[in-house]
Amino acid sequence: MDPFKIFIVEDDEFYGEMLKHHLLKNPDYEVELFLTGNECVKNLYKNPSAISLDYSLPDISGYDVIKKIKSFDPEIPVVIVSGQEDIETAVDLLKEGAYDYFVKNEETKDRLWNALIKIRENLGLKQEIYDLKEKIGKKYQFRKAIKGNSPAIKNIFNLIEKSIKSNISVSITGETGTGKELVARAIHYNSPRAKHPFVAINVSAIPAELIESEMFGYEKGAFTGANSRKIGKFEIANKGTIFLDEIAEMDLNMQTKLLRVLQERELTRVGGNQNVKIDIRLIIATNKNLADEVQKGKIREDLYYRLLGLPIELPPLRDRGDDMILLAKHFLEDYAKESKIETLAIGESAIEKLKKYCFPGNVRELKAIIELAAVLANDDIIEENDINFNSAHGTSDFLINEDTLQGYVRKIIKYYLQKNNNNVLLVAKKLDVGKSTIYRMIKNNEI
Amino acid sequence: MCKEVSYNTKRIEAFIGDNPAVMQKMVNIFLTNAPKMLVEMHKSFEIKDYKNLNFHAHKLKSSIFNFNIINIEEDIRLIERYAKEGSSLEELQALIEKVDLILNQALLKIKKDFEIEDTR
Repeated sequence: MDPFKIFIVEDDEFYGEMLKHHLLKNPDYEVELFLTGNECVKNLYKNPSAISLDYSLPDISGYDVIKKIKSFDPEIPVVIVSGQEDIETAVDLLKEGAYDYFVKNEETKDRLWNALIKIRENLGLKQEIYDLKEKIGKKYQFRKAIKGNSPAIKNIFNLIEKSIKSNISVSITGETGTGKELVARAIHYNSPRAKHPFVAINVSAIPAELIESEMFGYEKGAFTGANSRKIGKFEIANKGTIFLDEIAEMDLNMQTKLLRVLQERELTRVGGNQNVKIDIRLIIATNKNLADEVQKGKIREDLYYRLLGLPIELPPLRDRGDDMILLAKHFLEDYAKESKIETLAIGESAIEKLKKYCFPGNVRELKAIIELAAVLANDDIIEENDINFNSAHGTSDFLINEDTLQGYVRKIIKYYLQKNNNNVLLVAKKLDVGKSTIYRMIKNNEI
Repeated sequence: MCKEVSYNTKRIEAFIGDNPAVMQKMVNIFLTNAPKMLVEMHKSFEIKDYKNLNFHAHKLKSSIFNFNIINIEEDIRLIERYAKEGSSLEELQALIEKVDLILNQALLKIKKDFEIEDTR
C-alpha cells in the first residue's frame, strides 16, 4: 500500500510541529509541514493524500490555498484547522470544498486523527471502486464475455462493434436467456462511457406507481414518506448508460414521460419543478416484437422510433450450432473454478443428448443444466444421465427430445392411457384411433 | 502582586507522547519564536497595525495555551480581540506589556528547566 501523505499547512511552527509529531504516531503516515500557503501549493506535485490547512496564513488566505488545491486536484481532502471560531468562514470554506473545519482546542488532535482515518477509509473505497471498474471493464471485453464462433453470433459481434463506435440507442431483442443484459453491458464497458455508471432497470420488476420515482427520483415531500430528496436511476447513470430491460411492460403514461426525457435530454424529479440535464446512452431490451406491440397499441409509435436505434436481435441457442458445446465447456470451467474442483469433461453421449435439445431457456438454461450435471456427475466426466432437462416452458420431454413421428404417437397414447386409468376404449375414442391399434402397441411392448 | 509564573508541558505531551527529543525540539521552537512574536506585537501596536497585532497575538495564543501559561492565557485572548476590534487601546497597551513581562519570565523558567543556556 502507498504511504498516506499528509501536508500540514501551519504558519505557527510550534503548533505545526506538534500536529506533525502527533500524526507521525501512525507509522503508515508520511507528514510534511509547510509554514506558508505558497510552499504548500508549490509541493502539490507530490500528490498528498490529505491536507490539514490553517485558515489564517501570512502569505495567502486559506480561501486562496484551498482554491489552488482544488484546481490542482479536486479530490484532495482538505481539513481546515483554525484558531478562529467563525461559523460564517467555516461555511464558506466548506462550500469551497473543505472536507471539515476544526477550531484549535484540546480536541483538535483527536478530531484531526479521526478525520484522517475516515479520509483514508474513503480513499481505500474509492481505489476499490476504481479497481472493480477496471476488472468489470476487462470482464466485459465483449469477445471474452460473449462466447461463440457461429455465423449468427459473429453477426452480433459486428453489430456490437458498430454500436460501441457511436452513441446511438440500441434495442436488443431475443428470447429469454439469450444474454440481452450481457450484450448491453459489453456495449457500455467497451464504449467511451465505460468509466461512468451502467444502470440497469428491469421495468417489469417495478410496480407502475413507483417506476417514475425510481427512474427520475423525487424531491423531499413529493409524497408521504418522501423524507429526503432521492436521485433517480437516470441521474445516477449520467454520462453513462441506462439499460431498460423488458421495456414492453412499461405503461403508456410512463412511456409519455420517458419520451419527453429522451427528447429534451432533461428530467424533472417527482414533486420538483427544476429541470435536470442528463447525458445518457439508452439501451433497451425486450423478448417481444416491439413493432407488434406498437400495432397492439401497447407501445407508443413515437417512442418506438426513439427506442429502436440500432436493433440487435440475439439468436436463440438452437440456431447457434456448435456454440452450445463451446458454452457448455465454458460453464463447466467456470463452475469448477468457483467450486474449486478439477474441471470435468463432457462425454460424447452427454454432448449428443444436449445437441438434440432445443433449449427454450437458451444460454441461461444451458448454464443451469451444466451446473446440475457437474453436481450429479459421479466421476470426472459428465455422462448422458447427468444431463437433465427441466424446462419451465411446458414442453417437458415431449417436443424437447427429438423423436420420430411413430415415437411421438407412442408417447401420446401412453400419456392418455396413464391419464385415463388404462381405459383403452375411452382413449381410442378421445384420440380417434382404432382400439386394436392401441391393443397391438401394448401387446408389442411399444408403450 | 503577580502570581509566580507557571507552565507545564502536559498538553504538548498529549500531542507528541513521551518523546524527550521531540519535546526538546518543541521547546527550542517556542524559545526562538515567542520573543519574535512579542517584538512583532509591540511594533504593530506602535504603528497602529492592529491587523498584524491580531495576527501575532493569535499565533502566540496557541503556544501560550499549549505551555499552559495560565497567568496570561486570558490576556493574550483579550489582545487578539481588542486588536481585531481596534478598541480599548489603552488597555491593549497594558496587556501587551503584561504578556511581555510574564512570557519572558516563563521563557527563563523553561530555559532553566530544560537546561538551555541563556544567550540573550
